Amino acid sequence: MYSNSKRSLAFVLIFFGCFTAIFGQADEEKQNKIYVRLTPSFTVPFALGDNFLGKAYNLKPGYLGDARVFFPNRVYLGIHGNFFKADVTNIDKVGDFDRTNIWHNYLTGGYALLPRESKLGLDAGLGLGYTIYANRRQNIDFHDDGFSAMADLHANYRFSKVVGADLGVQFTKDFLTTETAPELEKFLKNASILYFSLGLVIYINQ
Amino acid sequence: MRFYIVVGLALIISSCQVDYEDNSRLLFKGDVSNGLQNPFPDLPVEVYASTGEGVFNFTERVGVGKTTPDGSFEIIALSPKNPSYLQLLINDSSQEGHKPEFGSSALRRLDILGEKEATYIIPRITIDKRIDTFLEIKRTDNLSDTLSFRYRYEDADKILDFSQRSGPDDYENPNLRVGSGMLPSALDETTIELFDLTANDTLFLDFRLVNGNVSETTGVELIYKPESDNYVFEF
Repeated sequence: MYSNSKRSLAFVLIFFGCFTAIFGQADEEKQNKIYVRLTPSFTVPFALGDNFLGKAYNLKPGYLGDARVFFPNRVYLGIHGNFFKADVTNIDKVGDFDRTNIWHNYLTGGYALLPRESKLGLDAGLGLGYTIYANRRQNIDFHDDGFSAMADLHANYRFSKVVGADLGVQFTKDFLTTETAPELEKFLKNASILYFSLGLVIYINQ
Repeated sequence: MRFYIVVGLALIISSCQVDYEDNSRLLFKGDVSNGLQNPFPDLPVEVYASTGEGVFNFTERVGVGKTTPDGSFEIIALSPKNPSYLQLLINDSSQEGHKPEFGSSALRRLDILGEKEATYIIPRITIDKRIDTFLEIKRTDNLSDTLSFRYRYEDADKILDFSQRSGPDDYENPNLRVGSGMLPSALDETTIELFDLTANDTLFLDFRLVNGNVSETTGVELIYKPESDNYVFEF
């Protein structure tokens, strides 16, 4: 009886030892693997400052798509795009057209402030890219474009291995290449936008 | 066949449309005063671009603004790509916020002025009250000659056409009102009604005195007299 118990105990210990070793190794391997986070979001943009976007536009809610590849050292690299529409409310500040579709595309990089195993994530990052303002009115169709830089902070919560929610704030600075009178350059060539975003997160290989 | 006609017409029409430069804006700067050189605030100002003056002529508004309290305006406008005729309207009856009791100005062919650093500098524009008034011609010194005269004045809705400039800072207004008359030696005075001109504007009078022999024609510029609300010529 005693020997049976001993044998059983030894078996359980060996089993758990093997289990722990196998899965511990798996966890360790996983920690060393990259993983991906995809974030489609709904955004609410606000124009900031004394510039054409702040003085002549009514910005509408838009969309954001973000893909990030996280490395074991918590650093991430990714791509980011966002889009929103805007109505011109003050044509004497920009010229006679009535609406604009605004696109931003970035290459991004940043750092995860919380460890991978935590259900709560917090990332801070920067992006460099291109922006285009597609201006329209009936048969009027032209654009303004230029360089854009952004900084963002995203908090996300993982409900399961693959799905979570994301809350973000992003500041964007656009540097357009508009050629105009010297006294208008500061007003027409710069735009600042603050976004708040709420979206879904899809984790791959988390 | 009908298909080709439709396609051909569509191509002609689309080729006549105004296209716009990407990444470009023009600035139109100027100021408006009344006839006494006081600034004229809160007048609507608009800039138009058109592809030409032919049958398939497309005109589009490219910039909008108002005169400020100091009478100046700065209109930010789209930059037409194809060769375009530029026109600036001030207080035109088609404009929102236009003041019907005042005259208007249409500045045609601004493109001839040329831009410098994407800026068009517009010569000072005078706009004043739209009035109906009189020209009084009185005989004071000359009691024997017959006066033959011809007068002209600018309509309150002025056209300043820069393709018809007579000098670098001057222009000819095709929108003139003209009239003529005669004061026989038997009459001492005559009054002529003048319609829809701008208060404080100059009236041009060419006249000659006839007494057997025809004399040379002489021209005078008559100044509006607000106290009596008329123009007076005495001879």
